[in-house]
Amino acid sequence: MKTERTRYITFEILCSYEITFRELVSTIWREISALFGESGSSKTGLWLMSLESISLEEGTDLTRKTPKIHLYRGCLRTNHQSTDIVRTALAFISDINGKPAFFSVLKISGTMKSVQKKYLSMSRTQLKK
Amino acid sequence: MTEHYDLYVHVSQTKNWASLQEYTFVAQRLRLTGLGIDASSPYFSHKKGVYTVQKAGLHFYSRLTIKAEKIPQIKHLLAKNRQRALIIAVETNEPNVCKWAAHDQRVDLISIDPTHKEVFDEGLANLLKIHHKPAELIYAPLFKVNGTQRSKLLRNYYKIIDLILRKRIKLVISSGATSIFELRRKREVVAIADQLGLPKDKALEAISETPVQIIQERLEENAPNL
Repeated sequence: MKTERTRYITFEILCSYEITFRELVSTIWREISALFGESGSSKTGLWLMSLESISLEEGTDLTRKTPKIHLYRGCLRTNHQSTDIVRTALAFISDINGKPAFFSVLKISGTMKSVQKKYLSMSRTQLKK
Repeated sequence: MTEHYDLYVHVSQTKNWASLQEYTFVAQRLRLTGLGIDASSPYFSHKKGVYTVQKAGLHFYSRLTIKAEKIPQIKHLLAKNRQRALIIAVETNEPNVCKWAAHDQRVDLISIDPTHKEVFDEGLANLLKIHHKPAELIYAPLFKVNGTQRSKLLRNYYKIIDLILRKRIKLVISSGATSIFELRRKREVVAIADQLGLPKDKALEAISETPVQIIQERLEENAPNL
């Protein structure tokens, strides 16, 4: 059996309420299972590595008349054959535990180093944990 | 890098400036090139003859979606509103009205409602092909349902896309978003389209080249020197 090649998917989430790590994990698994079935989801080797809250840029006054927008950034680990499946599932997610939200994939990379360097503030050791 | 246009987002329903501000913020984050917003939204409502606005690096195009149930009604609405917007789309569940609109040169897009796939039959597909009129497919309804309802909706999408590909009709993919959470990045739209049975190159064409063609044609028609 060939060794699985790992892919790291960096994503951003925009949502109207705060979300937790656990809520996010269950949402992603639920969506993949709903779209591709239990067999399909089992082949993804999915692992949520990190989730961090990002502050919105100054000057973006979005709270004036509308609910506050929260921005998160995170990293998912999967295998190279399942990147399309995961990406599609993320695109179909429109809420996290009933809270309106959407995903946008920033980068798919083969090494954690490049992901961490460009998008995540967490160190490599923190991500490994 | 290809451009990404979303020619159908609902802004006018909320009638507040913040909503448009939200769309602008999210569209910037998602690297969209242009958005088609209702002609009655704040950017266009007070300026007659202005069809495009550029704000914060984004292009906004005025759009009017005509919803009519009878042919005399659509005739009346088209005659009355043609000069109000750059892009005129027709969205109806009446097959006869759709077929009539497919003939009309004032109509730029025929918006297909995936919940009523019976409207988009072979006859309408043939008419769209003959008149080189693009069909518009919106993906926001997919986010509003779950479970069995979503699988039924997906089946409708498969059938519609199959017909579009068989008849080689031009296609525009729009969000039809009613909130900012229904907008998607270009690659995500392609991934959704791929899941619905549309090849990636066709999906990219449907969010970049075809919308650009429509916009350019309409801008040329509306040019004061023409």
